[in-house]
Amino acid sequence: MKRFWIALRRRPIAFASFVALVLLYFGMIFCEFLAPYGPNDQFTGHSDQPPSLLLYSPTLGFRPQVQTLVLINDFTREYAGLEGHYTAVNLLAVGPDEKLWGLIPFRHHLFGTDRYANPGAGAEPIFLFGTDNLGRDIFSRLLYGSRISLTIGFVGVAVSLFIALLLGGLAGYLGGLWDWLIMRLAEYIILIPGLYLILFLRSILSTNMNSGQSYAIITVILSVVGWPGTARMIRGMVHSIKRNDFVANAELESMPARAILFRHIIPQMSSILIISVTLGIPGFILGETVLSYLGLGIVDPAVSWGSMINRDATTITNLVQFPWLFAPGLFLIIIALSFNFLGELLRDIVDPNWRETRRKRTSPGAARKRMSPGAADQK
Amino acid sequence: MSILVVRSLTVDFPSHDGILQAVRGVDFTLQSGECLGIVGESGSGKSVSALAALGLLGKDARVGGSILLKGAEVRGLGPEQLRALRGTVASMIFQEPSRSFDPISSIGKTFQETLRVKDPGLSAGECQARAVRLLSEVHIPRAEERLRGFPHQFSGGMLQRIMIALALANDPELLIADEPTTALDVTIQAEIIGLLSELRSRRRLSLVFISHNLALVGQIADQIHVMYAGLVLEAGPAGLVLSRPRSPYTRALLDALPSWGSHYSREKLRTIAGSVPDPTRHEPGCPFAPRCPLAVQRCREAVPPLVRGSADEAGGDGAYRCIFPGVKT
Amino acid sequence: MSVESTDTFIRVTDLTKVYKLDAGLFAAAGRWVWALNGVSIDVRRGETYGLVGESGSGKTTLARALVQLFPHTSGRIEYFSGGDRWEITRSDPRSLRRFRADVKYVFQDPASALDPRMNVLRILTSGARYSDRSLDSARLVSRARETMEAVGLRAEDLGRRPSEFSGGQRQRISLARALISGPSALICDEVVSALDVSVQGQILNLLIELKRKYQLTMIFIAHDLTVVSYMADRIGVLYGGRLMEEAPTAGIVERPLHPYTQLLYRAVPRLGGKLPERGSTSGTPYNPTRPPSGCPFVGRCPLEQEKCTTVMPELREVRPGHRVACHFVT
Repeated sequence: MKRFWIALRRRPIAFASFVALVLLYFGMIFCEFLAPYGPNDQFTGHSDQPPSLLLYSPTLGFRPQVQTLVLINDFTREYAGLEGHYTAVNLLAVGPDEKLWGLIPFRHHLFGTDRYANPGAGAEPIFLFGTDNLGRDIFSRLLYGSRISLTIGFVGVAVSLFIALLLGGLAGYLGGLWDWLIMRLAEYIILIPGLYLILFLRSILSTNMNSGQSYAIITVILSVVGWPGTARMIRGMVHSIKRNDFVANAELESMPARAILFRHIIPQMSSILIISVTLGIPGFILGETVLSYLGLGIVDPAVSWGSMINRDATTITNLVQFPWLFAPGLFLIIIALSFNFLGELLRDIVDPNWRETRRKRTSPGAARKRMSPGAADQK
Repeated sequence: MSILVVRSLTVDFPSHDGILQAVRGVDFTLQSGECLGIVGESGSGKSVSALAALGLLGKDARVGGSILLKGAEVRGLGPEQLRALRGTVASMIFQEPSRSFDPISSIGKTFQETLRVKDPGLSAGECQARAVRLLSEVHIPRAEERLRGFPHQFSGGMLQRIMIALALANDPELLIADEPTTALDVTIQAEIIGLLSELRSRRRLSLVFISHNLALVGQIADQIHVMYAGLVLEAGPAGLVLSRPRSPYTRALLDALPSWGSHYSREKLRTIAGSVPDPTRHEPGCPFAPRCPLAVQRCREAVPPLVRGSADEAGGDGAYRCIFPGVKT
Repeated sequence: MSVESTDTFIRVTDLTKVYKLDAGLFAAAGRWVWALNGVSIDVRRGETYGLVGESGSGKTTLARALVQLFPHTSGRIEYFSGGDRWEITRSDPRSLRRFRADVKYVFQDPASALDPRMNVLRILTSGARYSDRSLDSARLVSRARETMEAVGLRAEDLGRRPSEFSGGQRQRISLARALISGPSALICDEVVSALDVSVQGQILNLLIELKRKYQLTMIFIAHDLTVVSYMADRIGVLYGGRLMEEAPTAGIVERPLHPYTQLLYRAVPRLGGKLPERGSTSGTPYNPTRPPSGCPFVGRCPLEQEKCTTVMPELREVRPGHRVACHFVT
């Protein structure tokens, strides 16, 4: 753990990634509180509005606020600000009734305007990232959508990794016929182009499912498509690791095979596994995005980032006119990059040759001559 | 004529741990037809010195001092010029013969490539003929058949002979052998040493023989340099170094392993405590001081200067770095 | 001086190990490698038995077959302990476990013998849990500390990982791991070959000290005849999977009788010695895929004749305690 903080402090990009991920997952956990409105709350007369947070106006001075917008062109959906009409944005404002995680009811959200407290006062709603064509707050939808998008990565990777460890580990350790059978199966699955496999699997299932079932189905499909690659890698590593003398030694100590596999062999692969997991998570997230984008994953009214892209960001015209609709894409990029950088860091600190005192890894030429005391006595 | 003259050679590898000083000031002179033996353990810098002599160190190496191969300075030569030198003036053979061959080229093809470096227009037939001659020089029977074979079909000893033949293909004047027998069995080792000695006299070859085995080096070398942690701690004619070593390190190396005929029940081995120092840590003083039974405070303060037994640089009475030369421990 | 007794501790009878070469689809099928070919050895309690041979001689195969890291093809291994005789095979897990707790194998390569992701304490104790002689964890930890000190390391180093140690120190850790369960014997497979010269002596001295302190029987394997003759009370010389000569150390050192032993003897570089004589140096090395009739030393032997290619010489006792397998040594 200590190595983790030391490494983080030394790598600003990884540190930023870590912070970003923490914030995003925090947002996901507390989305009911952090989002000012519900994901499907429609604000009539406010469709396709741009992000509306202002920090200054002559009327209210320096404070977060929103200017009232009026539609001036119904066709292009252009808005103009109404002079002098500003609404303050408050912290812990009253908003729609929600239940945190479906259990704890509350009324106050992190921020909002007086709209719910004083319904008649004509307060404007606050749209941090604008609205979609049904007048729904993009920011709130992002937060609620992250529940699906961010967790599907973990669940999917967990399932896929479990299968890969089991089958790949068995193939590598047992060798022989088992090895052959499992590897041929894996190769067969790899042969089929991934996208088509996903589409095929999806299409043979009913199209009318509620979002819970969709979630489960998507996870299963992506895991089935994803395990062979990792399994092959694991199998290869198990084959080579088991040749080490310390594995033979564990056998000589009468350690049973399953203990050897889990205590000696698999930990050697931990750096590979960590990289595989941290790269796999964004892969799964994007996989869900693709499915939803194609209309085969999460559909309305359930919300995920993929379904948001599917709805709003499909045409260039849309994007050019209402660029804030690309917000989910932006967040996906941030997630993928953050997992990448963090994964590299995790891989490095798990490496037993990584030293806390070292600045960064040396070039291969210097590394050849850099003899840690560990190599000094050997020819 | 001096075929190889090395003066104040230093090799540093910058790493983010600090500068790794692999070689810290080494001199040697090799006359034509002579054999120089360099003895040292891991981290001594013996291999790095040899690689530096042929410009084989990577880009990240910082080489200081001067290396004169047949009178011409090797440092600062461009890749084309170095290529012209290698194989034709000086050649090198390495420790693991099985790793030094291209596994997918037949032996004959490898010979072809090597021969055509010097003489690009050589026909296949001529290459074959020369290869056969070279293989018989290293006592490999049935040469034509062997040329069609691939490296994995040969034993370590055979491969090392083939390596030697390849190294000599373009008639170099100097052969550098970097631990050529370490990976081989002792009986094969004896054959290879014998072969090198024979080739040396037949071809008037100059030889640099690098090893960690002092006794082995003693069988073939005319002069011996003993290196430790990047410095030469002792140098001199082979007979002298082996019978009357001045440096306690040489003495300790000679004592370290059991002599033939001794048994544990009768004599205990005189060993050296500790282990080879970390090349990124620059401790002042003699590098052997932490392990030396004779070390005093002065030894830890400054590296002892290289003292020459006589003014003759080519060996003569030899040279050593110790303030207590020849003291029995 | 170790307590010499004529109790047999391990008896190997006619041990043979044959590997099938994995041919692949396109190569000539069904080639076999005769790594061990009918080796019989008695190791006596308290002695150090030295096994010397070059690569391919079968010495490592013999050592690994003893602890059954793989099953042998034919032959018998017997283990004598507590007045009982146990036959050691993979099909008898009970006696195998008992054997493996009592006879410990120490590996050659300090780099791969220790799990790089474990700290030393775990390395020493994790296996002990499964052995016949497991102790409770508190006792294990104090055993670990004792053993570390016995091999010349500090108990404080228990929390460090192998990469923080030098090669010589890692071999000490390997020894500590072998000793922690209190075995009666060690099989040391080339334990100093991968180390620097200046460190080899330390480990050899340590082995001798440990042998005395714990009354160990040792099987010491090396390719260097000088080192083996220093460490061993009796020496067996292997070549081509067969035992060529076996004698007390003094016998081998003063009068090696078998032509191969003599070749080994001459090949050792000696200080002040001249170059080793070029004997039959252009001979063909042993090819382990040849069918095993006749003497494996054919092709390199200065004494060889027609009958050597077809008839394998018997291992005969030509002097008291001194066995040689050669048609021409009497």
